[in-house]
This record gives sequence, structure tokens and C-alpha cells, in this order.
Amino acid sequence: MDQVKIKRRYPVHGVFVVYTFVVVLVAVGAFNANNNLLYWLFGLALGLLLVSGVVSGTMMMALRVRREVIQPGVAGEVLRVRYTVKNTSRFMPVMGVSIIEMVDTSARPGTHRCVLDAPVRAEVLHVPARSSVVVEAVVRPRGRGLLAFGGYGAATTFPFGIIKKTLWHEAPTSVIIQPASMEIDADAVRGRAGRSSGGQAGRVVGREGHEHVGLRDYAPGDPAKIVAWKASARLGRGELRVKQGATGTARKLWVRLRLEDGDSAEVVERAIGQAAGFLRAGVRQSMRVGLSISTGWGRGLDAPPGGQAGRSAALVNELALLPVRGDVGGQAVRIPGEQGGHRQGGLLSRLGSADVIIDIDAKGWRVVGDVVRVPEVPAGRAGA
Amino acid sequence: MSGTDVVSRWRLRVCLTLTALLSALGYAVAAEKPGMMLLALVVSALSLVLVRRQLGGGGRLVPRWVLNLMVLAAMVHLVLRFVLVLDDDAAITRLADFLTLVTLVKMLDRRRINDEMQLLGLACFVTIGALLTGQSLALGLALLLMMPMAITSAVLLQVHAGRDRAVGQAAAAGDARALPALNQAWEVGRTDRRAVVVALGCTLGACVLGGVVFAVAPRNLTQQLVAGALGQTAQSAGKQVGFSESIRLGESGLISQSSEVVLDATIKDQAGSRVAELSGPLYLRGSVLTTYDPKRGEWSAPAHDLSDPAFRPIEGLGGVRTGEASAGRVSRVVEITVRNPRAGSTSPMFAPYRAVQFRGPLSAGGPAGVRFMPGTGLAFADWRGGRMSYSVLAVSDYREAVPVPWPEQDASVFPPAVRELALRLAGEAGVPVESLGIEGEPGEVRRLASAISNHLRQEFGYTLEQVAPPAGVDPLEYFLTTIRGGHCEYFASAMTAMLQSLGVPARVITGYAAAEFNDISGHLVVRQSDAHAWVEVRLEPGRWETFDPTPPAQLQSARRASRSPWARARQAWEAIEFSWLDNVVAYESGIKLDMLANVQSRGEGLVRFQQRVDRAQQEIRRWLPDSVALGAAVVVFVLLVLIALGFVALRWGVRWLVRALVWFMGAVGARSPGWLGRLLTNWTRRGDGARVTTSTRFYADLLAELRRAGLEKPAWTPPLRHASKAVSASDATAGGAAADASMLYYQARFGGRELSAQEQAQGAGLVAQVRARLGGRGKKG
Repeated sequence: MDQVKIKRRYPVHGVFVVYTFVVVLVAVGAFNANNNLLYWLFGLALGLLLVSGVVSGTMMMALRVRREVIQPGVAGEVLRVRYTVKNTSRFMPVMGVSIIEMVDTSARPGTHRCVLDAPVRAEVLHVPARSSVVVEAVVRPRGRGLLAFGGYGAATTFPFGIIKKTLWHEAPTSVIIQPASMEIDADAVRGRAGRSSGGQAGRVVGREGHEHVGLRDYAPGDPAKIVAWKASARLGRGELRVKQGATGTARKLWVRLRLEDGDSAEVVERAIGQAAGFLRAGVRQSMRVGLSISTGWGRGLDAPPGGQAGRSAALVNELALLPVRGDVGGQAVRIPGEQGGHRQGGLLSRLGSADVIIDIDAKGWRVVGDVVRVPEVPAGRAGA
Repeated sequence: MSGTDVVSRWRLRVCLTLTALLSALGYAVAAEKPGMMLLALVVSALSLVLVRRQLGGGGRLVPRWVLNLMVLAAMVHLVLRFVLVLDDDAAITRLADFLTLVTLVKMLDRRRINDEMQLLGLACFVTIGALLTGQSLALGLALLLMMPMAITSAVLLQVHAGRDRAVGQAAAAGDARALPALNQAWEVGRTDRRAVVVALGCTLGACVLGGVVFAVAPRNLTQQLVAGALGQTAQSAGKQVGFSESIRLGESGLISQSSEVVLDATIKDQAGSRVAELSGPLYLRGSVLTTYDPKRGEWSAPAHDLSDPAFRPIEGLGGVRTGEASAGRVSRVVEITVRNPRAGSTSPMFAPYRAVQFRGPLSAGGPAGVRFMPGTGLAFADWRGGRMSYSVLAVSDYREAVPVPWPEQDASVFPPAVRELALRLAGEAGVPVESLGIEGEPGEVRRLASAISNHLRQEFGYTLEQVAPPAGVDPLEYFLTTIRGGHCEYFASAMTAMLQSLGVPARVITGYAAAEFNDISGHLVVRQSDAHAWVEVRLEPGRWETFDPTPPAQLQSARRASRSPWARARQAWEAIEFSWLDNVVAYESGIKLDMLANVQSRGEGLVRFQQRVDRAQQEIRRWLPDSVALGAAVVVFVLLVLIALGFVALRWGVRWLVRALVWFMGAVGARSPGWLGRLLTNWTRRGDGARVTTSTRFYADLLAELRRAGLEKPAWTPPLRHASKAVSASDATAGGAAADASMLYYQARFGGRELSAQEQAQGAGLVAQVRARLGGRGKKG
């Protein structure tokens, strides 16, 4: 188990205040009237308070909570945060514990923050003595961004709801909530020029398909899926041969996202969702994907199509974190070599390396035709 | 909801229903309201039926409007009771009535887990109301049953609330996988059982701790500061039906015989052993009547004025000596607990004659409120509430410490027939009239008194039926000459009148003649039907003797304990009730000392410690005037309120308090006519909650435009709702523009971001549209 700093807290909550108030009134009534039944009630109330403290204290002493690694989520889909809850007590069961994540809402420069509209909260109903259970908090983040957690607290008001005790675990972590795919036509990544969010049919651009035309020697960088294993085995020289298609290798998809300063938040988010959708569609069709982002507020990215494992996920994460106006650092970060505004020069010089280019802006998306292939440059995020 | 979950939820609701029912029954018992009891039973049964149906898939138990109507009716009833004074119930009883009714309504309004929590809270408050209303054993039993129920309910509620939160969260997230996992974790039945075990453990622990606090908490620290509000009790306000401080003859009707227990007495001899048998009834005196009013046929006592120096205050808890006891005489200690003394008035402390010492502690009134009236042997307590418990040391041979002169009575107030009969009986007994009078020969006086008493016992009949005399006929004369029968008041009155007509000091005593011992507990049970009147005759200054002229056979037959099973059961119940009253209700430091003394060896130190505590309490009482104590109580209360407000401010921020205040005043202002409405509305306008920044300046302009157009947004109405309803109703286009502007404002306010320049411009444009549509109207206005 990771070394997590644990703090015990005893927050005062409304029920405790009301209870104390009533108990004091009962005590005043008892002393005032020498009413022995009120004395009895006063004693019982104090006893309940003490028992409550002892029971919840004993329970929390034996409680061990560990948060499991959180898998990245997608906006609009269920995000699960799992906890392993262990009760080390020999006799006392653990009941009625809530595990609440503290979402870190503090701004991080240059990062879009995911905002939740519900707390991340898991309920531990019952853990018998000397056993453990796994509980999970489910939440459905509505938007993309970085979801940062400052830590989590195991809180209980068991057994009577009077005293609240919290075991606060300082375990900061974060998870990227990727944008949801929205309003795309998956066929568009096959490169039909003129196809757009408006729905017009287009002509196929770039070279068609992946037709097998022969074999060639393996070159570093060739994806494993085009290795001709049987042919290589027949050669028996320890050398690999790869299938040579009409395109020579996997087709390349370049998604260009252009956002203007005046675009509304809804437009920006829709465009980002479309970009994410095309990237995912490209990956599903075994394409190499690239992403370029240019914004009117100075944020940009230039990542040409590449074949590295996890590249598409990395690009979608970039989309997830893309700051917009209103985010801290949304305007402040400048990409080196740019004079502010749109970042165009570096991007245009690399466009020729793609088979399919999809432009996305406030008006929608469209497939750009007549791509001229130029020598590839090393992939990577330029500037930022 | 799965089947097992339904079972689990059903258990919780049954538990809560029983908790609420027991609290309501406890209150109904305490307040002696059988109607409320019946209502509680009916509503509980109905609630269970409806809850069962709801768990099967139904919606709300009872329509919302019906519930609201019922609460409204309860509120109106409460207000009317206060305003129109429809009954003589105490304020606390009226409030507790209202609270009980609300609890019963709440039993029919159970949808979510929060409703169940509210029901539990209400039940607890009803319980407090019950404790402030009465102290009977039935109430104690109801509380004894309710306590584990309430604690179990509270524990189960905690677990169920967690489950409901988890289900709600899964449903909000649309997670289909969560529910089966939850059901698995829930382990229905097993979780419930564990929770109940925990609850029972908690109950046990709380009871032990509560018992310790109950036992050691100091009593009698102060006088009662707030009478009737925080102390008890409505029921103590004059429930002594049997005993009367005056006698009025000549009324018709049948005297009812109530078996309600009025007080309990334990008699101990000199050695401290309990006496469980008496040769005759124990006469407990409550009033001494000396003067007869022939016009009204009424015997009355001198007016009690406790400020009169003739009344001697009983100081200290150690008691006061009221008379002289000869050494070596048989003495008895009578420990008395009056169940329902009259609160808020001077209450007689019933005691046997020949009481030479009254001893507290006297719970509620305290020693300072108790005075002894020399000459009558009566003690009075200025009682403000609570049970009255004290002990009296009585001796067989008693003489007043300072004899009080007998005020000469006017013998002419009695009809001639009275004196004639008295003279005849004196003659028959051979008592010379000359030997009588204020300074009469004691032996002759005793002989005459005995003769009169015997005559009345033998020649007159006892009946509970009263017959009014014809107009103009004295009831005493009518009793002695015509009907020759009546109840104890007639006998005592006739004997006293005959003696006084011959100049012999005699007085009518009213109180209780107790002869019924409870075989199980060994204490003397005194009922309302034991109310009695008898005679005391002065043999010599400072020495009075008791005579009872009422025929004893009838009296004994009325007091003879029944041996039926029902009577035995009632006796058992009363024995438990006495034990409850003696050890719980009347628990005080004396009992504490006895308990400690019973602990061998180590007990001595504890006894000494407790004695020191008692002495310290006395010192505190001496040095702490009521005004200071009341002031301290007020300070404590104000501090509590401040702490509560401070908590609210710390928990939710000062702004929350201010907003609540602004909201309240705004709401009042909107509903107040004239200048008050304008004043409050203008004042609260500043606090409409709008947080205007540079980027949302257009929103402030929008509010100003609306204000100018007479469509001002109330502080408590959200901007969008105001735009969609009020503004749209006035002008649809302006309403749409205002709604769009409100949405922009929402984005800035709740979206946590600054608006872009374009958005700001858009907002300004929308405001301009509103201005264009509504501007003319504003100028006209």
C-alpha cells in the first residue's frame, strides 16, 4: 500500500450542533425543575454522545482505505473510482462510511479542467470484522479536461448521525477525461474530398486503399501488421519482408482543428469532440493519425501522423487538456516561433505527409482533397 | 427495489413507526389524553398499511395537499388554543400536542430516507414533551420500550441512508452495473442484523452511562427559575380531586369514588424498619377548618398569607422541629410522595398529626418555599412543579412547642338544634357544662367528645348521597334532625359544631385517612377515595386529640382491599409504580446517600464525599440568589444561540446568514403593503445576490432596465425564471432577450469563467433589445 498521509478530522456538522443545543436545553430543564426523568434523558443523551464517539472512533481506527488506480475516462461516460476498504478489527464491523474524493478545482495554467456536477462518493455499507470489500464511486463527467483529486476522506456519522469523523487521506492524483466523439461521419476518414458535416458526398482523395502489390525488405518504422511472416520465414535468413501496398504503408489521417477567438464555448467543445471522434475513427481503421491545433488565443499543437503505440490516445489527451478562453493560461502560453494568433507556418509545411486531412472549425468539419505527399518529418509536438 | 431490499426497508419503517407510536403513546399517557392515544394507534396502523403498499411499488402515501391541510389544521388549532384560551392546559402541553399531531401527520408522509430521519427527530421531541408533561410509570414503560427502538432506528437509518445515496448516485450516473454490486455489498439481512446488534450494544452502553449521570447529577442546585416552561408540568395543576381545603354542606349529588392514587407513604419505626400494618387508618392532615359560615353552610380555614410572620419558614434540608416530643415515646417516620401536587400555588404537605419534624429535601420548591403554621400543625409548600417528597417524624404524645391561643368562636352561628343535642349528650355522659369551655377540664372534654363521636357513629348512617336541605334550613340542622345520614364531612362538621357551641375548641380536619397497604411493596397507598374529614379537639393548650365520628364500619368497607385477581394485578402495578416513583421520580441525594451507605467498607468514603457535595450545594444555594441564577440561565441561553449562529456562519459563511436575512425581509417586504413593503423591498434590492463583475456588467444594466420598466426582479427569484415568466408575460421579445442575457450571466456566474468580449457585446446587445422593448413603458411609468 502506498504511503498515504492520513489525518483525523472531527468536523462539526449541523446535527451535532442541534443535538448539543437540545441536550443543553434538557439539562437546563432538568436542573430548573429537578425533574428526574429529564435528568434521566440528559444522562441518556450524554451516554449516546459518548457511545457514539467510542463506536465511531473504534470503527475508524480499524479502517484502512486504499484508492485503486483510476483509469482515464471519457466525457459523458461513467468514470469509476475504486477503493479497497479493509476492516482490521476483530469484532467491530465497519458500517455507514462514505468515501468522498476532494476534487481539486484550483486552476492549473494551460490545462482545461473537468468540472463534475456530482460529488465523487462511494458508500461503504458494511465491512464485517477482519475482511475487506471493494467499493466504487461512479460519476459521469459531462466535459473533457483534467480531473484532479486532492485526496479522499472516509467519513462516518455512524451510529447515530451525531458525531462526524473523517479519515483524510492526502493522496493527490489526476485523471484525464477525454472528449466524447460527436457529430462525425466515420467514413470521412477514408478521404472523400468534399464530404463535410453538411452531408455532401465527395470524391476519394489521396491513394485508394491498401492494395497488396508485392514484398519489400523491412525498414525500421514499418508497423508489425504489414510484416509478411510466412514469406520472411520461407527466406529463413533472419530477415523480414513486409507487404508493399499501393500506399506503401498505413494511410495517414491528419485532423486540423482551427478555433477562432470569437467561437463560443459550445462551438469549441463541439469541434474538439469532432476532432477526437475523427482521431478515434482513424485508429479504428488502422490509420496513422496526426493532429494540429491552432487557436485564436495562441494555443496550438502540431503533431504529424505517426505510428507509435498510444499515439492516438496521447493526441486525444491533448484535445482533452486544450485550454480555452477563461481557463487560466488559456491565453498566456505561446508557441515558440509564433507571433500570436493562428499558428500556420509549421503546419502547412507538413500537410503533404497525410493521406486524408480533415479540417474542423466553427462551421463544422470537411475533408480536404488534393493532398500532395511530401517527405515526412519526425512526429512530435512542436513548440508547446 | 429488490425483494430483499423491500424486506430490509420494511423492517426499518416498522421500527420507526413503533418508535413514533411509542413516543405519541407516552405523551398521551403523560397528558392523560385517551383520544390522542387512540388517534396514534389508528394512524400508526394506517401508516404501516400504506407503507407496505408503497414498498410494493406505490407512490406517495397520502396526497401532498391532504398532508398540508392536516398540518395547517394542527397549526390553526394550536394558535386558537393560545389566542382564545380554549382550555386550561399549560403552554408546554399545547406545544407538545401540536408536535404529536405533526408527528402523526409525518407518519403518513414517508417517501425518502430524509422523511424517516425527520420522523425520528419529531419522535424524540415528542418524548421530551412527554417528560415535561408527566412522570407516570406508564410513561416510563413507554420510554423504556421506545429507547432501544429509537436507537435501532437511528443506526439502521445511517446504513440505509448510505445505501440510498449510493443508489441515487448510480442512477444519476446512469450506471447499470452499480445496483447489482450494491445489492451484493448490502448483504440484506446480514447488514441489518449487524446493525441491530450494534444498536443493542449502544443502547446498553448509553443506558449504563445515562444511569451514572442520572445517579450522580447534583439536585437542588437552584430554585426553579422558569416555572412551567422547562420544568413540569401541566398535570400538576390541581388534580387533587378527593381532597378539599374547605367543606361546603348542603349540596346535592353523589360523591364519586375515584381509585386514583394521590400519594404514597412509607411508615418506618424508630429502628428504621418498615411498618406494614396499622391498628387504624393513618390520618394525613391537609387542612384545618375552624370557622362556620351558616349562610353558605361552609367551613373554612383562616386565609393563608405566607408573608405573615406567624408562618415560620423551614430552613435547611435538615428540617425543622415543630413541636416537642417526650423522650421515650413511640415515634414514626412517614415518608410521603405526593404524586401530583398543585403547581404554582401553595400546597399543603400532608402529614400525620403530632408531627414534630418535617424533613426534606423538597425537590422543586426547595426549603425556602416551605413554611410551618404554628397552631394548626400544618406545613405549606409554595410549589412550582415537580413531585413532592418529604418525610415527617411523628410521635404518639405531642404538645405544641409554643401553644397558640384559641380564637373564641361565635356559638350563635350554629342552629339551636346543634347546641340542644350537644347539651343532651353532655348530660347523658355526665359532663357538667361548667367544666367545659376554652380552659375546660381535659378529662371532661375528652369524655364529651367521645360521647358525641359515639352518638354520631351509632345513631347516624353513612351515605355518599348528598341531599340538599330545604331553603332556609341549615344543613347541619337538617343532618342532625331530619335525614340523620351523610358522608364524613357532615359527621365531622356536626361534632365540631356541637363542641364549639359549648365553647370547646374543636376543628374540622380534612385530608386523607389511609388504611390500604400494598402487600407487595409494603407501602401505604392513598387514593382519592380516601379523602376524609375528622375532628380534633383541644384538651388543653397545645394539646389536641383526634376523633373520627364517621361510622367506622362503612368507612372500613369502603377501604377494604379486594382480593380479586384484578385487584391483585392492580396492586402489583401500584407496587411497581410506587417503586418507580420512589426510586426514579423522587430520586434525590438522600436516596443516593442510602445507596452509598449500603456499599460496604468503601461506601463510607463515598458517603462522606456525597455529604460534602450536598453541603457545597447548600452553600451555592445560599450564595446564589434567584436573580443571579436566572441571569446565568439567560446568559447560557444567549450563548447557545450565539454559538449556533456562529456555527452557521462558519459552516456556510456569513454571506449565507446575510442572504437568509435578506431573503426573509424581501419576502416580508413583497407581502407587506405600504411604506413597510417599499422600505423592505428597497433595502433588500441591494442584496439580490447578483455578483456583477466587469464582464457581466450588462446584467446589472439589465436589472436596472427591468426596474425602470416596473418589472423588478425580486431578490429571491432566479434571473432566468424572472425573465421567462414575469418579463415574458409583459413582453415576449423582451422576455426572450432577458432570458438569453440571464443565460450569459449564468455562464459567468456559475461556469466559473470570464465572458469573452464577444459574449459581453452580445449581452449588451440583448440589454439594448430589452431597453428598446420596455423603455417607453419605463418613461411612462
